[in-house]
Amino acid sequence: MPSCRAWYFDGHTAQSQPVILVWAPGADALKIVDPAGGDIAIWALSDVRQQKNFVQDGATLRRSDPQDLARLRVHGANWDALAPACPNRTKSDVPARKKRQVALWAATALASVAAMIFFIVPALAVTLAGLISPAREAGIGRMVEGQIEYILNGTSGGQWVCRNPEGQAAFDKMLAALAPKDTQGYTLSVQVVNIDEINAFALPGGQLTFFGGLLDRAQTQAQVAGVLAHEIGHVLERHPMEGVLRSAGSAGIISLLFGDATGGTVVAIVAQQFLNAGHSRSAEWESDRFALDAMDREGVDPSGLAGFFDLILEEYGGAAASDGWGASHPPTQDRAQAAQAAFDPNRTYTDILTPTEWQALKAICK
Amino acid sequence: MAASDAMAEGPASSGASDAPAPQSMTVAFAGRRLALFWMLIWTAVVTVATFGLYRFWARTRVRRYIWSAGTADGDPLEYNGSGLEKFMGFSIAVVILAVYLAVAQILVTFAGFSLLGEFDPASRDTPVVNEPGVFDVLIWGSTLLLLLPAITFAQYRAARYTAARTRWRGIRFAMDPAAGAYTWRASFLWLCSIFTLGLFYPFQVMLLTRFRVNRLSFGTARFRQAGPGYMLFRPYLPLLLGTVGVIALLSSLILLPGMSIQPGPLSDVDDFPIFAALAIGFALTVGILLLPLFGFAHARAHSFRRLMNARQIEGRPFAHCTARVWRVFGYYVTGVVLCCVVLFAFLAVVFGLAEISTFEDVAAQFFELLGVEEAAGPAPRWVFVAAALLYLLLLLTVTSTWSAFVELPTLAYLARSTTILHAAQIATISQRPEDQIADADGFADALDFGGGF
Ligand SMILES: [Zn+2]
Repeated sequence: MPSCRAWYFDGHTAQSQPVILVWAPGADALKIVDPAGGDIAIWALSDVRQQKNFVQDGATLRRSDPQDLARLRVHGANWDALAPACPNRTKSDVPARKKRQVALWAATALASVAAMIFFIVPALAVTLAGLISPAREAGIGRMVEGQIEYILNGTSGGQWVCRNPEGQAAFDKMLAALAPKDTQGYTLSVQVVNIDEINAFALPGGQLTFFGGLLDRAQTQAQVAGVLAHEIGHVLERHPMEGVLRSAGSAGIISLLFGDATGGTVVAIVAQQFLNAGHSRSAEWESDRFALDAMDREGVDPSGLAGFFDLILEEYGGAAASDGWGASHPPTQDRAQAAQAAFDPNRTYTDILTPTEWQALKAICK
Repeated sequence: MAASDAMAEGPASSGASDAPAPQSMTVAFAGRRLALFWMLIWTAVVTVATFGLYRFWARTRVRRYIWSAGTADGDPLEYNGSGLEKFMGFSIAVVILAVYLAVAQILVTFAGFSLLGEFDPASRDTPVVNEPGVFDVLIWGSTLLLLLPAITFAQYRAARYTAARTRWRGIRFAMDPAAGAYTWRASFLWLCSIFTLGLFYPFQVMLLTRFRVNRLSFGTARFRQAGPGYMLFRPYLPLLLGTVGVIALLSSLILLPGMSIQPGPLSDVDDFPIFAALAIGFALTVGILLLPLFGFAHARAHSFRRLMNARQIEGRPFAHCTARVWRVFGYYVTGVVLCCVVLFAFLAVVFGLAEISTFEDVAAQFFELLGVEEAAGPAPRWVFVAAALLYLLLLLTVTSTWSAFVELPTLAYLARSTTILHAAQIATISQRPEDQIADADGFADALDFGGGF
């Protein structure tokens, strides 16, 4: 019968004991024998497991039961002789119960992240946004604007603003016409920045920002007026402030999942998030309704808003949902239909700006 | 081998060795640098390919390797954590941290906003506190305050998990459950270190090491860390001085009036050969790193020696350690040179492939990639993906080089320089029941400070 020398650790004390291992070909038993005589233990050969990623020569052996801490240390050539007799030496034993437990926890983790991002963080943002005064909001908006200018244009201090006086005067006139009498403490202002993309966003506190590309590509005044009224709606409903707070909350979760909870510039993440995340579906509907009311009051063609969705789809095609205004404002069919439905064929619609003013506004960044 | 001392008093004393029973055990470390290097690279590549999911199994493999390399009296340590339980621990940690971090971040941002001055849009003036830099510091500081308890809590949980998964001769190590007490203590001590600009750090290390060691046991035997609170001040002194030196050097370089970049010399820079610049950068990096590097080596070797010599098990001195600073410093210098070689060779290869030979070329290639010079629109996505992968590859290579060629030999040296005393008594220590730690080191993993092994 083959045999070899080894050291045995009984799993009860830190004592090391020299032993002789004896096994018979064909029999499933590994006898652990005291050199002075007498059996110490018998292990089933099929039950023997080998410690993985082991540096030393030979092997440390255990039994499959993880609670059994008895160990055998077998050196080089001895292990070479014994190894072929242990058929399951590299098998890993994970109980099915453990696997189910892991799957359950992984699902819980996903669910809790989703619940935080989609329900708890937005709800908290709405509550907290209501506690910030419009003047304070304006300060916050100013800061976020600085970050956005840096991210999108690489400049600071408002260098990206187009400052053509005639164009600006025209836009101010359009804003004054569409803004309600009661602005709830907000001071609304509008600016155009020199970026050739179809985009516009409202910052906390009432700063509305349009990209030059939007004015350049717009076909009618009513389209610009529609977007402007829509953005005013966002401000008065406090959506931008909610957006910033929501971004701060999800920035915490995102940095957790990507394993960078401490690094990075928080405000930069918040600004980036703010740009990408946009508003919720219900926020868009609220703003659309506000825009259609304002346009109706001023006699502006409401199909302008619908026309603007077509413009985005034309410009960006299938990519509308991933670029520019389309990303934060998905141009859905039902929103366009709602805008189109507000169109009254028996009514004569007017423009807010004179043709000269409209041309000045279109060329504000030229 | 392991048998000699045990046989001297055990029943099986008729065994092979007739050497006199030694009262001490030698400690050794058998890990091979190249083997570890390839293991680190390979597991990191799989981790990237699986979007980070494999990292739990990767860390388990590396730990099993490192643990089994360390022996006392010829018997290796055993690590029996599993990737699956680490993955589960991470999931548990995410459930709790997602709530904590999201709510904390929102509240901190809200509190930061409440501190901002109000803003009158008509004036177009920004109050000073609204400057993004000021606000960043504000937010960053309060985020740190919120994270500190989470991080220290995670540190203790991770240490406890690691101890519970370590065995020697089949006997379990363990740490008492004391994460709560550790959290507030460690957070407070961290703040002390931060506000004294690091001067308090040696005391912090000593106090926290004592806290952890006093709660550590091997089987039924308890460890104790003796030594006064100021014991590590001497070991850390060169590091404190070195840090001050580097800060002084850097600030004098920046503040020196003649050194500021002027438009004249800048235009000459364009024609400067890039490979000469790489060589100069290499020399500067190595030079600037030498000073604090000695400080790190001194702190590492010297505090290890002092802590080991003042450690007790069951009321008896545990070990005798003779670790010298210069050996560790040697490994650190070799490591920095090696990492710099990897880094600069990598850059040289990239520049060579991109046919860049001067700074002007760098700018041209860069702008061409970004699509600025032509009206071709922004660069295709694959350029950014390729750049990110290249960066990741470089990062992995450098960190793996450091782990395998600096950490491993340092560990091996510190182990070799240590002798465990009272071997016969240690052999009589008996088993303890198993600790269940469901969250494993998931909190540490989620908060990403699981650097090292
Ligand atoms: Zn909108």
